[in-house]
Amino acid sequence: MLSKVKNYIFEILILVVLIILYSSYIPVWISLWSDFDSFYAFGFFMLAFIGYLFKENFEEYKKIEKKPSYSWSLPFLIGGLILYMLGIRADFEYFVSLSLPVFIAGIILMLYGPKFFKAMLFPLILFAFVLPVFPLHRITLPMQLFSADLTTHLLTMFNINAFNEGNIIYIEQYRVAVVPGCSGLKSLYSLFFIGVIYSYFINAHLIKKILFVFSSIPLALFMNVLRITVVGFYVLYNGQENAEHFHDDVGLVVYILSFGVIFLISRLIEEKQKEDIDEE
Amino acid sequence: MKNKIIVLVILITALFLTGTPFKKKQEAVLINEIFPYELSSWHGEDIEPDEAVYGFLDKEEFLFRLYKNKETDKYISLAIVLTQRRDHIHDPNICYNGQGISMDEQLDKILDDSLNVKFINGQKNAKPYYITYWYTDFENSYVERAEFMKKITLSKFFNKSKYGFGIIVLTAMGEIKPEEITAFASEVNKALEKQVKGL
Repeated sequence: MLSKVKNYIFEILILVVLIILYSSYIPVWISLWSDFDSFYAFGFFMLAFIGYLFKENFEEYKKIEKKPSYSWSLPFLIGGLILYMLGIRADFEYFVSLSLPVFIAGIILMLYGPKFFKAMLFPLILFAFVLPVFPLHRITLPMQLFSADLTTHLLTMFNINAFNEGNIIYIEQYRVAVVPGCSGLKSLYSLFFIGVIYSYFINAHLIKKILFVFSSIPLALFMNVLRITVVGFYVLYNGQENAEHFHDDVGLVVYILSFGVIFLISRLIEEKQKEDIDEE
Repeated sequence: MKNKIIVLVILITALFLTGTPFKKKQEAVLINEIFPYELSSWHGEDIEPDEAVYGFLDKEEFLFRLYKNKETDKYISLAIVLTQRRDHIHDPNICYNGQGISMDEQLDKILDDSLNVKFINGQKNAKPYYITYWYTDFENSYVERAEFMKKITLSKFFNKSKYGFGIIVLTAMGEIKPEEITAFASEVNKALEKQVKGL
């Protein structure tokens, strides 16, 4: 056991230094993954999927030729250093989060080389997205306004007396607020990554897989507007009492419907792929 | 072996360039406790903010009050965010657009005490709505967020942020003169500087 540790002493040291570097951020990330209301609530699920990828492809990874590369790795390592430094010193938290996958990319390239890095690229990209690398909250308000505008248009198409001021929709004597949690961004983000995971299992060309993944974006936006519209109808005929409970219930139904639509799209893609192969 | 050492050296360099293991969290200034409720002829009372605010601001970082002028019975809302975190300060235009306030006219003004403020003439529910705001690092006042963020970046990078960074927003509706709002803004700024720099 001791000889095994001796063989990997540098790898262990690298891991320890990485943990020290991110020691104040790891608890924050874990709390984001544990918070059902956060954008990153799918984090543990994604980490489990990354673990699954490693387990499934372990034998393939062992066979890949390991040839360390300085020229490929140094830009990533120096880039990670700059991102980390800027992030910590100038208080750009997203840079700190982004520096970790960049460091990991540099470490893989420096220790194992480009061929191994290529095999690790997909799990690494997935890992990058469970970290807060984008200031997502900055697009919450535009999405709230978009959802409020579109919902108001839909309601007026049904001859309902509705108008909106910013993110507040006035329906007759009632008001429905499209708050940040109703912007659709959380479901968009999680549906997108469900799409990424699902695309791994679909039997189709890469372009079709990419199109499939990106189809989750308009789907999430449309489903969110549908949800707010249904809540609008509920409030119109039942008043605002219990509207919040109804909103949560509808949200769950719409989310399940979205999965159904994603599944249907994947089946269509696979059928089309099968037809194309048969034609050839 | 050489490549592993290179990786370790780069990571340890990151540790020392940032002082990560030894970095102390800067204490927040409890703005709601230090800022006065009485400002010349204005008397303030705390307002409970929207619950959503607690999602992106720490409780000790903000102050929301409604100030009433004892002589004229007019009201001005005051919001102050004082923080060390750049992502806790955003452009007020973002919030007010979301609340359905139309911004008809935006002016940059310099008040008597060299205070730079953004003065906005707007409307809400067809009634006049005034917004006055400025950013501060307690050395200067700023009206453009980009310029302020650049200053924050440089201050933090060179460890020169002594008092933190703030945004002060005054809002008023209806029958109040713009001069009354800007006079109140000067009072707020003087009080804030006195309380924060006096700590």
